[in-house]
Order: sequence, then C-alpha cells, then structure tokens
Amino acid sequence: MTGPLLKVENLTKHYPLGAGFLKKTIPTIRAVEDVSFTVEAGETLCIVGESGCGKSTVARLLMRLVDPTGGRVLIDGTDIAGLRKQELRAHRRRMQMVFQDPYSSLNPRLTAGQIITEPVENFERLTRKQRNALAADLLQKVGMAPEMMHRLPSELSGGQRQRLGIARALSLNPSLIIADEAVSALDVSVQAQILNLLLDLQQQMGLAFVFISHDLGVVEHIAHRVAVMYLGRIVELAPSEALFAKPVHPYTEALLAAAPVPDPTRVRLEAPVEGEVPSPINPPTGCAFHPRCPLAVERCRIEVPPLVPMADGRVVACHVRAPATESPGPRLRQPNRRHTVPEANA
Amino acid sequence: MLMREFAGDDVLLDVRDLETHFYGEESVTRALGGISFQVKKGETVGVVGESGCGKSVTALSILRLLPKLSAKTVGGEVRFHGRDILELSDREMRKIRGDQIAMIFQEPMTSLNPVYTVGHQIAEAVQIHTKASRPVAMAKAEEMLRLVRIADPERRVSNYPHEMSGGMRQRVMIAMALACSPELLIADEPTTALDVTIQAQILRLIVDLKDRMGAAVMFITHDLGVVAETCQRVIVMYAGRIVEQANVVDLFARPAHPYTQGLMRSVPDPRRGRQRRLPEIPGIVPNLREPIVGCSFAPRCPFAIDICREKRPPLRDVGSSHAAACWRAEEVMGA
Repeated sequence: MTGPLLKVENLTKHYPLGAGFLKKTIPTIRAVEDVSFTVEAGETLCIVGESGCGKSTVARLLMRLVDPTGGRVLIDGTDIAGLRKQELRAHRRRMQMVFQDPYSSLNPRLTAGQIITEPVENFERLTRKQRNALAADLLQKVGMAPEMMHRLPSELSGGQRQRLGIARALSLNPSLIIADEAVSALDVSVQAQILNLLLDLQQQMGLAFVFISHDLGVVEHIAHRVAVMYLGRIVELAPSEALFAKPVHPYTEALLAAAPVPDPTRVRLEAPVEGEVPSPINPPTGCAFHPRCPLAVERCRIEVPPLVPMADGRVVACHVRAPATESPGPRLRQPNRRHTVPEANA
Repeated sequence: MLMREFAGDDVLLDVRDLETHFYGEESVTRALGGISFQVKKGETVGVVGESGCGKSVTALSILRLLPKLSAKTVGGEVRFHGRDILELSDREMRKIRGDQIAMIFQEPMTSLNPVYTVGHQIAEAVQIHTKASRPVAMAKAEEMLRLVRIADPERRVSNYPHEMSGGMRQRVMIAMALACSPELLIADEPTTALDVTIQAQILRLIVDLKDRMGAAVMFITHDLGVVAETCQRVIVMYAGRIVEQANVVDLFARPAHPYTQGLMRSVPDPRRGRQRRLPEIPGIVPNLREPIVGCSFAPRCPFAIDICREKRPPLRDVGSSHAAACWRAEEVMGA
C-alpha cells in the first residue's frame, strides 16, 4: 500500500444558526475551515486547541457522524464523503472512535461483554460461545479480567469504563482510532494507565491515532506530529519535538507558555496572552488570532495567512513568522517578548 | 508525633483532627479520617489529591456547607483566629462566611444567580457584610470588576451571567469573593473548567490580588502544575487523610510519601522521554465504607512491609517543615 492511511483535504464545516425565514442572511458557525492533514499507518497525530477551536468537529467529520460542508476525507485513497450507507459501514470498520466521557458513552443496560461485542454483531452473527471468546479476548487486550464481561458499566470504575470504550473500538480491528479527549476526565494515576495501554496497543497492533486533547503534557508525551487549531483553522502543524522545542505560530507559543508545569523552581517570565477566543459566528477578519496577537501587523487584519512550509518540516499560518512573500510591514502594537524563529523555507 | 507549631499570631486557620462522615442507606463513608493542618496569614496552601481523596470535603467541612441530611462533621476543631467555628451558631457562621472566609468554586455558572445582574450580586455580597448603602455597594461592585480586569466595568455591571464567557464569570466570582477583603480565600478547582490560556490569566489574577490584599489562600486542585505555579506549601491527601505536607520546592524535589512520588511520576514529562510507558500506581483507591487497617496506601505501595499492613503510620516530621505519614519515608526520599 502506498500513500497515507488517512488524508484530509480542505475539510470545512459550517453550521447554520436557526432557519432564515424572515432574516435575509442566516448566521453560520464556522466550526471547521479548510483543514488538511494526513495520518500514516502506526502514527499518532494530535490535534490541540481550546474550546470552540473545532477539534471535536474534526473528529466527527472524520467518522462522518456529521457531513462536511466541503472538502474530502480519504481512507486508503477512498473518499468517505462520496460513499453510500453500505459502503460507509464497511469503511467505518477501519476507523473507530473513543469518547471523552466513559459514563455517558456506554449503554448502562448492557453488560461489559455485550458493549464490546456489539460492533462486531452489527456485521456478523455470533454464537454465544464466539461472543464470549471475543469478549474475553478484547478484555484481556485492554488489561481487564475476562470475568468482567458480566458486569454493568455502573459496577466499574472510571478507568475500567474507559478501557471498555477502547475495547469496543478495537473489536473491529481498525487501523485508525480517533480519541476525542479520551483521558481528560480521568485522574492522573488512571490517565497514566490508559496512556500506557494506548501506547502498548499501538506497538502491538500498528494502530494509528488521531488524538484530540487540550492537555499539552499528554500530547507531548504521545504525539508524533501535532496540529494546533484556532477558531476552526490549523495554524501550525509540526513534528512533536520541533513544536514543543520551538513553537513558531504566536498562538502555539501562547498556548505552550500558558500550560502549568509541575516544577516549582521554574520562573514564569511571560505575561499570559490577553483576551479570549472570539466567537466562531463572527470571527475576526484576516488571521483570527490577530486581536490577541502581540506581533500583529496591518496585513493580519485583512488577509487570512496561508500555511507556509518551513525548513524543519512544519507548516505555519502567520504573516509575520512565516511570510509567504515579502516583509509583512510595521506592527500594530508593541511586542512584550523576544522571539526566535527557524527560517522560512522560501 | 508531628511537633505542633506554636499557635501564635500568624496562624489564621488551625484545623485539628477534623473528621467528616457521609451517610448512605446502609453504610457510612469516612470521607475525612481526622486531618490536622494550619494556614498562616497571607500564605498560599495547595491541597492536592485525586477524586474522592477528601479535598473538597475538607473545604465544605471548614465552611460548614456540607449537605445537611447526608453528611456530618463528627469530630475535631476548626479554629479561625483561635476560635472554633464549628461551635458557632448558623447565624454567626453566616457572618464569617463570605466576609472573613470567602470561596470560589469550579463551575461559575452554577454559583451565580442567572436572574440577577452580576453587579447586583456583587453589591448584595457587599451589603450583607457591611452597612453600605445601595449606591455605595454598586460603586464597589464596579470597582471590583475593574480590579479583576474585566474590560468595560461600567457596562458589565449590568450584564447577566449568561452574557459572559466562562473566564469572565470566574472573574466575577473572584470579584464577589474578594469584595469584603476576606482573610482566607478557599478556591476549589477554580480553573479546572477553563481553557489553558484563560486558566493562566485567572491564576495570575488570584496570585496578584492575594498579594495585594494580603489574604491567605487554600487552593484545592488535582493539577500538580497549578500547585507548582501558585502555592508556597502543599498538603497531599489520600483516602480521607493527609499523607504528606511540605513547602512546594521540597515536595517536588524530594517527595517523602510513596503516593506523592507515584502521583508525580505518573504525570507525563518529556524530560523522562516521550512515548515511553509511564510509571503506574497499580490498583485502585480503597473503599472508605470499609474500615482500613494499617496504611490505606499499603495495597498499592511498592515500599509496603508488614508494619504498613498492621499499623497506620502517623504524620511525622521528615525534614524542616516537611512531614509524611509513612513508616519508610526516609527510604522513599532516597529512592
């Protein structure tokens, strides 16, 4: 097989706000705007960003739980947007999802065994014996005792429930797992157990992950590559090590600087970035980050910056740090920090 | 036993053997199994631990805000300025709460009243505790909004909570909590529901205002990063008891309790290598409905020996202003 496992091209999702019966124009939420990336087999791509940046909508679009307004999602070269129901079902086997909340994503009336074998039974009929064998096997894969198959979700701890969610996702032998804030609701010691499980499974089964998270510590630990989203767009996509060593986009920089670090001897120099994330109903013109950006120039207010490839294999959308053409012009406001940036790959 | 510091003038809050139970249909949960600690004037103390360790119950017990029908503080003292506030009448307690001791909770939307403007709510808090007239209290509300750096405070005082973002609502909660210049601020996961850039702004704000007003802060959180950045001293709780307390630098440099050590190691840290398995704490937290013999962490502890399973270790000094409840603390610190 050649080419990436997953290829996302110019993915866009606009949600209309209410019906436009008397109003002339219907306001839309621009949840996802022109998002493109690839995921290779066995790779972990993390998508980070704050509430409302569109990261969860991307997950839903990948699973085609919602239909895109524009763009394509290709799995092994097949566009899932064009598929009819039957074909879509077959393709969904390749891609499974793990959700944030292990309490509301499990049917409280089914036993653990029924929950994790249900996806397979959607495709084929299992005898009772086959079902039990499958459940036992899946439970063992996620580090649970086979006897647990008779328990109800309410009889399990938060960590065990999240293991069930993972076992259910594994039941169809997918190549790709989309995990939307899969460890965010867990205590740190349980979080460590689940992260270890995901790393083990990736190694044993060659799984690829699209891992959506707001926790930069977790992301830095598991990601091969990281996409940073702000207000529906990817503003920076880079190999994990490069991104954390030297963020280029001013928003990435602000995000990394804001994350609390468990080291009391570290002295925090920078003032936190000011302001809040603007509304995706009426996003700022040009670069969406310009009202909060210390580096903003006139052009940032007018033109949406394109993603420009840099020398170290990353892409960045910033007129100042990654200019596509000539010098960006004078700043809109005084900067309050010093910056160093790798050279743009002109 | 832990040497009790002389309860001199600088001790603001002195909690002794505080014990709180929750009552279920057929069982009693020992949510707090007798905890003792002090908060000095102007000090920032972090209380950390995982779900169910008793950190929020500690706050509610101090404030006497436990659910009346299902929970009760069954033992101990909470001395505030030397006076046991558990002995006060409800009326006297209401005078202290919101005035000398203020609190901020995790979810600002559920702590604010949706049918009143934020200015009205801050002014109300001011009027309950001072004899200020309505116009004076409203002016104070506007001043507080300016203090917590809400842009356009003249206009924002007449906003309703739903017209504000989560970060702004938490600023309003802080404004309300600080309006009466409390001596102690109890903040229970105040930034957990917020985005990371907003969290950084709110943490900075709390620390700045605390320094300016000289209030002591009890910072309840599950996030070791938040503790490292904001607190001077840290209390670590496990299964309803304090297992370790130390100044923040010592705690992170040389944790003396195996639970603290395990907790710190299970946080991803790129300095220890990416994409590696994280050290896990095996097992799960004990059921507090059952009596626990010995150390409650022993079943999960890599250091556990016979005595740990038989006798509960007392909190004892293991260094200057560093105490741990572990029979083998010295070895843990060396590990």
